Amino acid sequence: MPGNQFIIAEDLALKGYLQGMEVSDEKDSTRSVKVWFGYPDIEVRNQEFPFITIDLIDVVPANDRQHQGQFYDNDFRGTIPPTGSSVYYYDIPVAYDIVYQVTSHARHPRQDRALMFMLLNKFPSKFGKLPVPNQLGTEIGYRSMFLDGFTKRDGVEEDTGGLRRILRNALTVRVISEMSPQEAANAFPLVANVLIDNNTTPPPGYTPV
Amino acid sequence: MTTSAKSDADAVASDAAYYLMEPLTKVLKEMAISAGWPTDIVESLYIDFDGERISVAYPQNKSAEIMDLEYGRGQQLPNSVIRSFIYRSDKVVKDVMLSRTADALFDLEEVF
Repeated sequence: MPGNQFIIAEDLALKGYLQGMEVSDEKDSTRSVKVWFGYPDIEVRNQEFPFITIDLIDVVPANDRQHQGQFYDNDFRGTIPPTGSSVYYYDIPVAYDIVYQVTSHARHPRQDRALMFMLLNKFPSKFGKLPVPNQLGTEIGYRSMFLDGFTKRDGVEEDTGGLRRILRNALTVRVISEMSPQEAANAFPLVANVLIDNNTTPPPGYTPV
Repeated sequence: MTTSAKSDADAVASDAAYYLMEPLTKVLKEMAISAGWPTDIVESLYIDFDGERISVAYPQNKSAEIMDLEYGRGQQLPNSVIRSFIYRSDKVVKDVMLSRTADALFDLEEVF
């Protein structure tokens, strides 16, 4: 199956959206800010502050914007390459909200503020949009995105060099999504055949079909 | 019985909100248990209504631990319960509000 599906597509789109951020300090005027899924494990990779983490914290059925009905198109909602005159007919996909926590981690207050500024620009409280390619890679859909929460989570933590301060900004970001027809079809399969065992003796009082 | 529309609306909303506290607290605790939050933290969670707004509440001495669980800390990843609860509690709110609002309106108008 080409491309990325529900959730993975949003994960990658969000990570791509956060790439390219830079901060400055006395040693490096263009220090790039790395982006990880989850807090980097110090046994796997070096922790280079500052960095940003993405955590998927919930996938919520979006019943308030769920529609019911059928669609007709020639690429199965961007999941199958169009062939000849084939037309696909399917139920409207299942609506979900995907909720992420995007967290910046920094040692220097100036870098913390710079990251806060950049993140609040990327995730405005209104009119945010996340570019997500379709599974075929032929089109980009812009998903509405909402900043549902912002929390300052500064603290002091044990590090290899002893207690060190860490400045964090935790943003709760909601991305609207839909489970595409193929996943939806698999999630809710229709009964195609009902098999009846004619050899079974029914209990007393019941008549064989 | 004659009252202003505003005071009636306030009374209906307050009455319904009061009846939300118990079912919402139950849902919140169930979600915290499912997420694996420590038992003492689960027991400390409740829904509060101060007459104007409904909120997730907990004792001040549990605040730091709850925020660490909710948002993560260092290697400890976020294990969201409170935010998930807020996203998912709408059905309970709608059911209780609809039920209680109807009852309260009947009471106010002395229908029965």
